[in-house]
Amino acid sequence: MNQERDYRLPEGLAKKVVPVAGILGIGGIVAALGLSLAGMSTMEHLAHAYLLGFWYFVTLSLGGLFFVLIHHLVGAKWSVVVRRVAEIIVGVFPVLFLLSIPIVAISFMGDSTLFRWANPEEIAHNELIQKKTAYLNPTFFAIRVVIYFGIWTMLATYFARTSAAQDSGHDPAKAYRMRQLAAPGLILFGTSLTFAAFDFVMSLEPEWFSTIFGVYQFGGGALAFFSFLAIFTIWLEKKGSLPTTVEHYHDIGKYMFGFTVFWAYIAFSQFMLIWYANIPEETGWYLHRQQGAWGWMAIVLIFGHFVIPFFGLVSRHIKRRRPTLLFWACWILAMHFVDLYWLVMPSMHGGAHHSEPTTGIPFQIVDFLCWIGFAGLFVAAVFWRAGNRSLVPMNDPHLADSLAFRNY
Amino acid sequence: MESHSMDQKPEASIDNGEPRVLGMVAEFDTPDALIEAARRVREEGYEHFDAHTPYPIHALDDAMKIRPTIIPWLVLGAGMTGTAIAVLMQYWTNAVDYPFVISGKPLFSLPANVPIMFELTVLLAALTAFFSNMALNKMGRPSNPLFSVDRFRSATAEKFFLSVEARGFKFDRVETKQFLEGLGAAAVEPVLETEAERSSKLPRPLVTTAIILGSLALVPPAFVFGMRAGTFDAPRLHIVPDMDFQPKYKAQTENDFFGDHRANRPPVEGTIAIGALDLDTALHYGKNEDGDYVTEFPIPVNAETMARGQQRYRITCVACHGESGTGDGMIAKRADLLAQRGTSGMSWVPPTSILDQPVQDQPIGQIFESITNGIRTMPSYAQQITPEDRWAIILYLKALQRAGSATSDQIPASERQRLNAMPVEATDGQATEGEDE
Ligand code: HEC
Repeated sequence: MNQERDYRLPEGLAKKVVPVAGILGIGGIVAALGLSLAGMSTMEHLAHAYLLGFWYFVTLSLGGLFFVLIHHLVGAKWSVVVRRVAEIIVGVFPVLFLLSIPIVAISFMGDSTLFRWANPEEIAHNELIQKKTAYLNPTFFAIRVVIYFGIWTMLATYFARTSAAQDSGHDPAKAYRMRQLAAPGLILFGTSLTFAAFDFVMSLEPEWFSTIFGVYQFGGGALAFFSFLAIFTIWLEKKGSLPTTVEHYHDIGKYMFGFTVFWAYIAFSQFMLIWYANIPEETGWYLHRQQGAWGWMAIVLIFGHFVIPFFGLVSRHIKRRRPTLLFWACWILAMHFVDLYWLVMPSMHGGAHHSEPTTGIPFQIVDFLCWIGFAGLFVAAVFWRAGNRSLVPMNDPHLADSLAFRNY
Repeated sequence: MESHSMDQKPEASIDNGEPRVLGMVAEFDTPDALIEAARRVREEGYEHFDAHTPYPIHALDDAMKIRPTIIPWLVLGAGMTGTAIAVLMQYWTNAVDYPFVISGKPLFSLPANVPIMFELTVLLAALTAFFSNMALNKMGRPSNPLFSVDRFRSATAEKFFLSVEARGFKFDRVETKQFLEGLGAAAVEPVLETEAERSSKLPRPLVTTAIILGSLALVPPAFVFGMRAGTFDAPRLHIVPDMDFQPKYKAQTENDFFGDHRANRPPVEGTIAIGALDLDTALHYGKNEDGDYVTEFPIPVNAETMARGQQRYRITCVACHGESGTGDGMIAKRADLLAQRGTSGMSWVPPTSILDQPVQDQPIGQIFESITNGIRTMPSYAQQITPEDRWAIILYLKALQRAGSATSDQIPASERQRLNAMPVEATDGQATEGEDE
């Protein structure tokens, strides 16, 4: 690479993208709200669709945070060129925090719109929830949400700032310091992610519990992140804003492949223990999600989220070609939506705890509107963060290694 | 993949006592010179050549035009084979060869088999990756003719080498040497067949070592054989005694310490072990004082004892006599199946149906005796079941007998309605799997 050359977004592009994506984002969510108020959907459905869109981008961004942390911890070299992009992506946590406010607010409404544990009437006759109210109550929930986003924003900011400070001068001590802090950072990351997954998604059905649930959400999130990273970096390269080569895509593709298997491994581990033990308080959750159309969706997940992309991504030739890698990245991003849909939406109307749980898939236009809304806001935030910054950590001690990187 | 060694097929030459030339090895000072040389050698038409470097150099693959390896395909194939073996093996053992219902799960259900599928996939894939890599790179050979070239030692330190084998029509001792020198090699040397390689005799030290080790290896078996064949007065060598020797008397053995020469001691006269008091003959033997079978239950007859009896029956008796007492338990079914298949060595008396008239007519004391002492081929269950529980079971047997001969008008009206509303199921004796649609 020509060290003199700058790698930034094309002149003025951010200024154009941010308002368009932002308006699309706000428009999507407002339209979903409008449709629900107009009676095309219910508040309960809207709340679930909103949570789905929210959690989709939280998990994706957490995948990015994981990438930044693990990169520093192991002293990775190949990924230096794409690390700044990840640092920019994790800059969206403050925006996601603002978007979490409606969810917390709903939990204070004292009804079952989203969380049954927030509804005093439900608690009164549900002994299982009664025993959990010390943890599952709106005030503590709000406090925890602040803590989670506090941790994530803090980690994201620290690593992005330090890396940016590196640009203006050679200071190997900074790289060393980041490496030291990545270890405790990862511990904070893992714990906060686990509990956030419990709070936002698992507690939708407060009777049910699974300790591996956080790992499951991590697997899906990291997978979504690497897919997004592949798409984004290929696009940036095409715009001339990133000096990435097919070697870097190959490695991102390896991550996608690896996490495809990891997701399946964890999802199945959770399933198999519950299936084998066959204890009613645990099986209900899966039983519901295996009935009727939900069952078909589960099959779609097994094949669409694991078997097909497994064979799709196994070959190096696919990972080393931009179009094929792009195809699988889009595929996986779509599957992440299906995965979360299958987790979140069956919980409506009392979920598995209801005497006659829903079996049909309640697809509604608001589901997609909410997702589009979040996608728009996410993209706007990413471009806003990218602004006119250098997209490559210019003085990173391993930048040269990363540029010259080759796979066997 | 190209051969990575000097194989023993030199250019045709007459054996004139001179060591044969197996190839040429050229030394280069820089990786760039080596890469360029490799490219030129390939372009010149040499097929059997290889590069040797102290560390991996990416550009070499391209310069040498090494074909992509087939290892990924081997690994994929082996992995899938592992998956298939795991599925078939588990299907065969669980659902075909020895079908046995365990904790109510279906004979063959995929989730339970996935861990083994995963393990076998990874196992075969990993072993194949390792061994095919070894084999295709011709690793594990004790020596290579290149090692006889002194210079070649620095291939693991600071120099870069290119070796061209004498195999192939392109090779010519003089021309190849000149060609390599022309590529800027710091030195070019022939790889000669060593004396040891030339002679068909095995090296002396190798033969000596083999003979010594071979004869030593015979000692342990000879020792074992001698010990096994001979007889000895001394007690056998006890290398790991564990708790084999304990200062205690074994039951039912002779013992000279006591006057009656028995190791077992009878209870002291006039005493009785705790819990062994059996004065209530009805409860403990099912007979009254005169020795006749009792006909009245010596335990309270109520819903509680009935439920207890049902529970105990389902634990101990149901495997043979079946839920309804007709003798169609899991063991009986399997025995029937084996008998049908003509399994050799089968002798099987089917469990009596509890509902049979003779059993119905028996006084309950007689059934008690059957459970307590066993009856013909059925073993005793006195060890497993307390007398009270035996009576509870008999109470439940009576209920089963009653149910077996019940008529529809004995069913309460409400229940009858429910029964009528139920869909008629095929009664082929097959338990329906509790699967949801
Ligand atoms: C291992 C299988 C097995 C189990 C367990 C078993 N039985 Fe039997 N039972 C048999 C067989 C076999 C016979 C028929 C014996 C024969 O005719 O040789 C039989 C016969 C009987 C009879 C008929 C005796 C007669 O007079 O003809 C009764 C009553 C009976 N069992 C009760 C029980 C009860 C009560 C239990 C549970 C405590 C029990 N059995 C457990 C195998 C079993």
